[in-house]
Amino acid sequence: MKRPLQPADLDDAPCGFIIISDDGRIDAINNTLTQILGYDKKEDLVGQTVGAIFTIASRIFYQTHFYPLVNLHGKAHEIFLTLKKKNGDHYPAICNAVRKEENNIAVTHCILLSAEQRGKYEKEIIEARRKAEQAIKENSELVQAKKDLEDSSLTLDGRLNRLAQINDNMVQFGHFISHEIQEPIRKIAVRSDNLIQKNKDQLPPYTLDALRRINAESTQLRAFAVNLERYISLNLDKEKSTGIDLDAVIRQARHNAESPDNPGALILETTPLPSIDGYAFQMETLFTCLFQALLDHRPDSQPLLLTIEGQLEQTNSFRYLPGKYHYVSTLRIIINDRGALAIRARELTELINSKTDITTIARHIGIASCKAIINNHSGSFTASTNPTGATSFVLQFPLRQHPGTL
Amino acid sequence: MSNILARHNVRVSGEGTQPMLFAHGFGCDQQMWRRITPAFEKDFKVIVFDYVGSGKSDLSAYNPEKYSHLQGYADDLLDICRAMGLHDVIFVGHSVSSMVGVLAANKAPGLFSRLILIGPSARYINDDGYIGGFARKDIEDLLETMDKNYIGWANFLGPAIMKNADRPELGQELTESFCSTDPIIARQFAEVTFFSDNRGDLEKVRVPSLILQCSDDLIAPLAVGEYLHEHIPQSTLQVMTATGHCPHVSAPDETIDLIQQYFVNSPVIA
Repeated sequence: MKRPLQPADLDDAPCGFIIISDDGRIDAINNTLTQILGYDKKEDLVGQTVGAIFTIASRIFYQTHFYPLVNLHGKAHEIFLTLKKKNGDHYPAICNAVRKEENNIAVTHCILLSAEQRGKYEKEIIEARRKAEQAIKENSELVQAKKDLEDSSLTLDGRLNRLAQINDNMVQFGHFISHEIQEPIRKIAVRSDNLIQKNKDQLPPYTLDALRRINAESTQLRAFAVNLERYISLNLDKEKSTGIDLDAVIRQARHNAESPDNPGALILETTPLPSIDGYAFQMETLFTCLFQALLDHRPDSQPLLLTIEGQLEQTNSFRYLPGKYHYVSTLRIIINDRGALAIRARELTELINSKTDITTIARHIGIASCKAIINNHSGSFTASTNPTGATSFVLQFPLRQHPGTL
Repeated sequence: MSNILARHNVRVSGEGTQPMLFAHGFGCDQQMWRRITPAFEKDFKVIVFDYVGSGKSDLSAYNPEKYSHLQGYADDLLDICRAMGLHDVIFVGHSVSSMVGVLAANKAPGLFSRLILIGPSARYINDDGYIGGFARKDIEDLLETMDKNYIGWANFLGPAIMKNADRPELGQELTESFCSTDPIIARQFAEVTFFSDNRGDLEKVRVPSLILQCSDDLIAPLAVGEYLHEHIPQSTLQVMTATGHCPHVSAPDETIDLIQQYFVNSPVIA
């Protein structure tokens, strides 16, 4: 049956209806909303500020968003607000609003619908959205971190390249200097020796003594230059080998260590050793330097007898990280003397295991070479003197080198 | 310069030379000022702008770390002043912008000649004898309300038809985005605003200021206005008959009158 809309229709409509004045007071409210909010009569609410029926959060939102929106835009749709019932319970609601002029006074008409069920669903959506945003944020942070890492890698690569160039130049320069200096020094030694031999009866004792010193010092200097060149050459040796024949290396080293005018100074008793990975030339240098150091430290000019034997064992290749284990086959090379070197054993060990500084390198360049080579091969060196007075030197190297270490 | 002006959608109008810089508050953008600015265009150079994340600002300039502190917004304010070569600036800030203006003026006092603070608060949450008006829980509920409203954020984004009933000379309807705000940014702005505490910055203010305090303002109650007046040196407090938190929207005439009256009592023309 057709009929005109009547005021009661709005009063009892299935939604809340409210008119709010510009100063935030309730001008009118319908029956439905009055009942929803738990009030007996409209008069309890009409004339009150909206604060009476909004939670504090909704009042802030009303002031900062809702009011400016409706005032400047004329209307608002689907605004979520939380109403406060008389007993303090909350009533989540969706609000549509429109601004109207009544006798030149602006007011806001609002309808309010329950959003309780929708609210629960929305809560889940909001939570899901927050998780998605978090994931996106974390992902973009990862992407940024990756980019930063790439940038740093480029910088690092550039710096490493520059360092490598500088190092190459230094090595070449050092090699050139130490090599070039040997010949003049050798000539000084030879000439001073000739002078001494030919004129030792005519020369005054003072001059003769000075010449002998020149000769001795130039010989020493030459040995230093040879060792220096050897030390620098360690950096030039870039060819790593698998399966170095240690027996051949030791034979060659013995030959290198004996001075030409003192053949047979070093007698070796060896048992065959297994082959290992490493730099062949460095290994030869290591044994040469070691034999030379031992020869230098023998107390008299008697030949030095050394026995060399090898033992294979399993050792953990992790040397710093606690709780990490990776067992690898390791070769222990044990060098024994017959007691002649007992006093020097500790000194030699301390030298090899000491921190390398430039003074150590300058003073004991052969030892410094040994130390560098042992490190290059992830090896170690120890020495001990047993009760009978014999000294044991133990060199230890992994049989196979990890690809990253050479 | 053009970068910064575009970043903040800076608009300039007026026939004067002394700048009046209007900074909108939380929840809206420069359109908040459209009932106020025409009154000052004859005598001043009127400048309005949007904070990054609001209105037609450049959203890509948003940096969550920078804007996790009101100082980030204050630094933007100074960027605008410097990019435009402004000095003797009369700053007009609404709500949270009042403190943004205070921070900017404390950092560069030489740039400003007056601060007009509309509905300011230095601290919204009650704290050990201090009445800010809110408990922490209220603010957490507000953030939830904002979340829920941005599910249907069509209200706050995109073009909308705006009636210009109060400016009939514009005639037809304007198509504009109303108070468009990125919801994620708006939420962070709400957190930064309502959890801020600028009480320690008040004593440092060296620029004369006018505090416009509404009657019955939920967000900045009278006690807060009185606290500010007590702690900001050279401040003038005016309690308005206007209610609510947005007198520049609800009572533009009273707002304009009080600002002009302040200019008479405390001359600003350099």
